[in-house]
Amino acid sequence: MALLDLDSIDKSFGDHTVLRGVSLQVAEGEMLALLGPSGSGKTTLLRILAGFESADGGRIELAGEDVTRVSPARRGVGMVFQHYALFPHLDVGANVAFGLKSLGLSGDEAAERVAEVLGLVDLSGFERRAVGELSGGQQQRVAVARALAPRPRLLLLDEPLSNLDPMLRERTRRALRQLVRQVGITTVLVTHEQQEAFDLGDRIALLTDGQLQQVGPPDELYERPANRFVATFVGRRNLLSGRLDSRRGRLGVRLEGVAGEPWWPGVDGGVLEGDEGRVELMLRPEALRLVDSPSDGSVAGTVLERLYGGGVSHFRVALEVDAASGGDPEPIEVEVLARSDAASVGDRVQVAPQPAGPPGRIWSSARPAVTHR
Amino acid sequence: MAATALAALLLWLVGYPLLITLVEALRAPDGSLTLATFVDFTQRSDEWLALWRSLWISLASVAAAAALGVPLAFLFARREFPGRRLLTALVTLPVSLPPLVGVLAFLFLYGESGLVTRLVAGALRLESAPWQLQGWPAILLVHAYSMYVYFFLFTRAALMASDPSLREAAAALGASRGRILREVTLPTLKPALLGAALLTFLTSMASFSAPYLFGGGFRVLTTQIVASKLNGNLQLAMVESVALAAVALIALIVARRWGSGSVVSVSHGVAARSVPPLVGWRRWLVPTVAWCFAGFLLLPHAVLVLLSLVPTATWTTELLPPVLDLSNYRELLSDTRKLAPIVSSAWMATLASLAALVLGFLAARWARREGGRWRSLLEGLVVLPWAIPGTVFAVALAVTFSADQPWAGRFLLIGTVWLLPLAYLLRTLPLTGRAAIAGLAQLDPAQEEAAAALGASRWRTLWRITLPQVRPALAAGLSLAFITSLGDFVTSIILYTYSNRPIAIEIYSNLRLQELGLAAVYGVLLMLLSTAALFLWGEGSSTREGTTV
Repeated sequence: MALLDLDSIDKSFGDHTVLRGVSLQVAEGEMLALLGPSGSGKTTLLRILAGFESADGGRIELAGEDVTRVSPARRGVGMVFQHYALFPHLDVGANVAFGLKSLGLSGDEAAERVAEVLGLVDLSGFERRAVGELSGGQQQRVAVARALAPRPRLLLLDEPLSNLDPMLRERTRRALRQLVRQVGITTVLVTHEQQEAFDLGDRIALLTDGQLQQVGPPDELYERPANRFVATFVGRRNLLSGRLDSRRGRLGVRLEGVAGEPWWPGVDGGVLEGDEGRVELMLRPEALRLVDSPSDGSVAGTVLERLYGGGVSHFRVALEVDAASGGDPEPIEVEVLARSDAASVGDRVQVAPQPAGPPGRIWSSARPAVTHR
Repeated sequence: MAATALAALLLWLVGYPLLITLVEALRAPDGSLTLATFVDFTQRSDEWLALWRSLWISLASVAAAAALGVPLAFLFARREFPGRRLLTALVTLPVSLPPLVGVLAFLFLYGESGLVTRLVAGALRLESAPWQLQGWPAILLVHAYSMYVYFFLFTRAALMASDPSLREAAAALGASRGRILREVTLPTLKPALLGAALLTFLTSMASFSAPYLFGGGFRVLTTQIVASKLNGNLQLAMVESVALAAVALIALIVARRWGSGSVVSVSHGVAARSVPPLVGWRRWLVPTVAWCFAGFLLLPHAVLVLLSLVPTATWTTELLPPVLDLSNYRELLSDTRKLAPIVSSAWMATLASLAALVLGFLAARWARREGGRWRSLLEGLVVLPWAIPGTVFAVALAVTFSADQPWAGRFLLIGTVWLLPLAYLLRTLPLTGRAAIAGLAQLDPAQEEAAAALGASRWRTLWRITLPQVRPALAAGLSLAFITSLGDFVTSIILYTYSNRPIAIEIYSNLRLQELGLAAVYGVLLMLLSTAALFLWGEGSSTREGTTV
């Protein structure tokens, strides 16, 4: 049974709709990452879960109990704020013990619990330190310890790593994942960074314009995006336009504007009823390759840039455009993942789809799956 | 070199007169040093009584001002209701009223023949006034009216700058609203509350107009000093001044000690979330009460205008004045003798506030450049007069500049028109100096370094980089300094001469002559000039209020 059950949550601020019909379940012990661009409504959803905002419509159940109208203080939900919100006038121990007073724990029990959670976040003995003396990473851990101390049923994390520098973020992310697994607490995390969502989330809920686009494990979002928005928001991708064309019983796209109008295969992305068969083909960089000589389906191009990544690199290639289309055709670029020594900037290369790689996905270009108001 | 010269100048202006006063207070008639006058002071029960009254009335003023200002700040910072923005501007009005003018307005409103007193007596068909505006309740009323603004402004600024997620974090940890207020909100407000309390306490200790006009037999230290001076007992006045200054300095030190424990928020400023609207019956009640309160705040301004339109001796027993015309204004404008105080106040206030601006800015700039001990010394000298009551400074200047000893840095200025502007300069130096310190503190030092690296001379850096950015702060300091000097009564009454008598003195003498209409006209002019100065120069500070702190 799901520990957290959201049913058709709606929320507006004035005449600006922030969330519409969001339904979501989170299983006991699961870590769910709410991912979305800024303004997508993910933070509002988290604040509704905590009880700081009230939903206009819908229902929230926590462990089978309807908490839709329950105040934050009685919800039994722990929260870590983006800027931590540590009480500046209290020391580390008093910060962590703050939530224990409401539980009616005795002084000794509380002190024991404080020591226990500080141990969990590797800050044993920090009780008497002033929060202003701590480094950013230590403040973040105190915030986590403070949220965990009352043993909440649900832990909410609002962009928990966004205030840390990149090196520290990597390390803290690992420690956070390990801690949450160790405690076994059900967690909802808000982030706008895909890598963070991928690393931390058992499942990811992708939100834009107040609507859930897809909920699933990271590999599902990457490999089988439910719509064009998910495909373009998650991971690197190439979008090429063309006409729908089946060959030998295989779905594919005849690329338009590219020299030779090659046919590249793809799979159904969900919305194929395009306007006169005009569609877009989405390919991940690793679904393309650089080949030495022209072959069936390959397109000539020039390497514009190599984004060096060690053994393999991303190559930005300008494809040769179709001269027949006349005028001043739009340049068409693709990104190809290949061995770093496969080509150099300025080289003439041939780009072709991987024969056995992850297939491209096809969407109608006439009507995007996600409408932006 | 320049810093040394500047520090020497400030020491001579600010520190030296206080030192002279202390030494002179210890001097016996034969020239030897003696504690006789101090001993005399401690043995007189009326002196102890004045000291005790000064203390408790100041503490009571702090309590009353806090009781009014803090809840109002919470209401205005935390709840949305119709007219909130306009009311926010209105409730700070009492600050723009010079102390003596405020007292005058209260007299016209609630005095024995005041407008409100008459209306109430008329409505209740009473033979005599239902109350008397005198003694400590009157002083406390005026103090609460004019000083709650400090608590309002400080608390509101702190609330608006505070991170709302602190309260949310406490709520998520299960704390009740009462516990959040006690254990999270109030502790984070501590610096603001302490600052407002100190300001109210010091202003109240230094308050002169209200005790002088309403006190009657209720003497506080400031009125006691002036009485001693007018009775010719300068020695005792000096000892009383030393006692008053000592109390103020002790208060300052105690507040510093208390304040040293407070911490500045470590959480980074998150933009305040939208202010929630009031709901239910409060939606109507709160704005109504707030507007009524604003009406009460505006009454003094309104009654001044009304009284200024009442010709002499036409309003006797009627409820409302029977005749209203401009004869008082005509009388004032047609008589150069009556215009003289306005001219005097204008030139003295302009000269003093400009000099205070230059001196304050230079001191702040050198303090910042030199750092270390120089910084503490310069900044300390600039803000010292803030803690010293005006009466004390007036006595100190009168003592110091009554001797012609150029070798000792003492000149004969008493009886000339120059002593009063000098007193204004010293009194307003903290206003311009603190504004300059605050303005410079917000300026990234790298900007001046960048200008220098780009080959700009010191002057060009000052002119093109530094000054344009601190201009709003300096303008705010200048307008406050100008207003303070323009309406000053407390130092003027000790240091004025006939040829430079300022507006406040003229108001006071008209009041004694029962020329209420003329007194009101001077009050209205003072109010208009002050408001104009605030709007002309002070605008920068109000527009920046939201972004700084």
